[in-house]
Amino acid sequence: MSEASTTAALEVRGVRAAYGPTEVLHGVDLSVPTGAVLAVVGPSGSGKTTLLRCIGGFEPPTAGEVRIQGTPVCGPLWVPPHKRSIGYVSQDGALFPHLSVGANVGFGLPRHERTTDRIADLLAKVNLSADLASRRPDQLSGGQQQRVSLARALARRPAVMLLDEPFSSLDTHLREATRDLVGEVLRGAGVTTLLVTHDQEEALAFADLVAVLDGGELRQVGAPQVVYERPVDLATARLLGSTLELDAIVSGGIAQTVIGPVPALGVDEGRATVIARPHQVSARLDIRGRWVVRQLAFHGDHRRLTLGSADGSVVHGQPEGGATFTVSTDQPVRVGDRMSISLIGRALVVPDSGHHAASVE
Amino acid sequence: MDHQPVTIAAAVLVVALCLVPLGFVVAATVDAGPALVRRLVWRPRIGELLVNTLSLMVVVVPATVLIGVGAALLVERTGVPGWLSAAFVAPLAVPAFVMSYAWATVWPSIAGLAGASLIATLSYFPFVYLPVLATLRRLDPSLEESGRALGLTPSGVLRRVVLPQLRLPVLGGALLVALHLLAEYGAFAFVRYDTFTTAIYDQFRSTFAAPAASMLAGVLVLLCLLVLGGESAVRGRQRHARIGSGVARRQRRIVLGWWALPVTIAVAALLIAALGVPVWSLGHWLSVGVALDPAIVSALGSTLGLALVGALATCLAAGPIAWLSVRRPARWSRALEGLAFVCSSLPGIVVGLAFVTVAIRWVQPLYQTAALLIAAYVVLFLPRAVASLRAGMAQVPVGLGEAARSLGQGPVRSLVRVSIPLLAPAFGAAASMAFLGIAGELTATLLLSPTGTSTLATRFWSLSSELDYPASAPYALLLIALSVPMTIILFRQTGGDRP
Repeated sequence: MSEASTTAALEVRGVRAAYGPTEVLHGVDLSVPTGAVLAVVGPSGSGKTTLLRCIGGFEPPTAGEVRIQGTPVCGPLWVPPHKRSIGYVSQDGALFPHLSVGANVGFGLPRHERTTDRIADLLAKVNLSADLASRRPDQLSGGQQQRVSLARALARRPAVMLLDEPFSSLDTHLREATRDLVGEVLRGAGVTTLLVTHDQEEALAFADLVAVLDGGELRQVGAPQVVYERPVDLATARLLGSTLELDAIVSGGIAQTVIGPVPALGVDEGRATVIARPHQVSARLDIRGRWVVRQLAFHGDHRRLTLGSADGSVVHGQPEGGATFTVSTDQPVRVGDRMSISLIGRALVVPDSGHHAASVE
Repeated sequence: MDHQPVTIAAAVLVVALCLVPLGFVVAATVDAGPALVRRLVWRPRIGELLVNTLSLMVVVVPATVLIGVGAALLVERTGVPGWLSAAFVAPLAVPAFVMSYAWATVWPSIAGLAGASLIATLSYFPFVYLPVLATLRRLDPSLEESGRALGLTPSGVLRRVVLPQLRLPVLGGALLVALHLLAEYGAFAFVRYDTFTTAIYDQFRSTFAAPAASMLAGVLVLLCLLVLGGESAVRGRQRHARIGSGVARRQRRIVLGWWALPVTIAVAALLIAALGVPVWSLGHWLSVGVALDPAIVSALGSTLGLALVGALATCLAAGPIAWLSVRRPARWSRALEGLAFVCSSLPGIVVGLAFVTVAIRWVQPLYQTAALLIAAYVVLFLPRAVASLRAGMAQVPVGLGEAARSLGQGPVRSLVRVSIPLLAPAFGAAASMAFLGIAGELTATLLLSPTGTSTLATRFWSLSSELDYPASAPYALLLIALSVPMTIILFRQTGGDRP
């Protein structure tokens, strides 16, 4: 995390929201320190866009409070979006089609500030040439449109920048470049930012803090590495990327699994699950291995294997041999080869809530 | 969010206005009582009118479908010259009653089912041609290529891939033709072919708004509802969407080969009948050279005035309905819109009769005022204004308003700086569609226009009914001139001008 000051630029307390009878946010608490970039990640339907819209004032929460720089904007007092000091970049940029690029960038500025120089400055901030100012939005590429949208939002120096999946409509290679540039611009300007995304990789790469939202509830908030490597539970772990999940029985600080003992300090005795990320798993060819290569994908600098358990009953939650996970390898393997795996470093052990029936040898 | 209740109230008011004709028919039926209704409805005259109206439909609807689809396929799939695509729309610029007048010039004894069918087919086939052409242009070429790859011959592709996809535009066009057949007065009265609409008008002239006229209107409304219901039942929930966002490539053109000669003859005959005859007749009567009817200036003035005010009123009424349908798509808002559409599909004669009756019974001061006529125009031309406005509003995503709000603009300022500039073209299109429709409206205007006020259409009608063909010609010319812009707008809207 960058050196975030102790005051929170954005505070969300107990926010609930509903569409008709369906509640989509069940009381969300969130605090974003000034200058920090926080990514809210979650599957579609988890309520992340609703959360962003509640903060922006486009959707009224049914309960709870939002404060921007300490000032309450909803709760007992409702502040409309245009008085909230927010910047907002939507999925498609929402550039006004009847205005030139320059007029779009200057849209939120007082009339006397809409000067050519100011517009050129703002365009330069997002790495766009001042020549583009006279173009129409539809003459720009998707990545350029998103950058113009960011420049337009930055022009008013908002206290909080809200980004609603701003990179999702871009092509893969453009997405990364635009994301890097936007991150750089926002950090350079020191704007507190909230990014909503369904792409966990984007959240991990872009943000200082990652908040995992699932089913309208926050599961975990923390630094990307912490949330990725130390997820609070299995559901959060799965939301943030590929996992190897092994059933285990913990006894005396050791979790016994099909691949041997794993240290499980501080975990209660009884059933548990060992969770490992692909980079924590090493797979090697082994004629007596318990794992069989089901799929093979060549990725240029490495190969990704999908391994299934050969006897079909050892992998967590998936008893019928369909259990798979992916690891990388540089060994020359073929589909059908037997392999054995081992863990590198410290895997995470989480106690079972008791609803998993799969047995452990 | 804040102005939603006002918008809903406005939309409900507009729909209430649209319900006047339907309410009138129901009220008149209840008023007359079962005995009188039975006596008025179960009589040979009604049977005769039913046979006439249905025969017309049985002949004209298939004929327009055949010509409309054929013309569209010819333009879009063969190498015929590009100007033909516009030539097939051009008959829309000739109002049907002017078409009758033109044909009566070259064929003075034109009458009966044959005459009425000829006029109606020539006037209405573009209603099928336009949507079919638009659909053909949008069809995903990869579907046809897949058809070929799966072993179909070109004619097999036409039969099994292309034609099935034309079902919806054909149905939509056929519906329009059928509704026009039920509503048209002038064209059929001219060739002395009795339909419900002409009979209602005659009855109105002889007995005013008596139960006899109302009961005829009731049967006509039933027929309209049957047509609307039938179309919607056949259409079902079917929608054709283009899946995937592939780039539309140009279709390969079919070479006509030895078909070229018969096709050329057929096209020439069609164009001579639908365009040549009106042009020749008008030219003929204009060259006869009689003194210009002095009333023409005042008729033009009142036509333009009524059309301008009517168009603005129609757009204002259409606004709330279009807004609700785009921004609050719920079952109730769709029902509201549907209700307005169904009521607006009722013939001008029914709307006119209803407004006359309502004014005489309940709001006497409104009787024979321009305000009442404008109200009737709003009901009649609401759907085309709603359609234009809705299309425009759909192109202004909600996100733009929200972006403006996030940039510090209040609701009013974001309306002024974003929504209004973006909606101006759609509003303009909606207003012109209503304007041009009103400028050529005959039936409701005949019933409702204030005493002493005549429009181009009504003046043309009275002159030509008196067989004063030369004096009618300048009116016909003006009516055509006023219809040309609408024809161009329709053609552009379907993308017909972009090959």
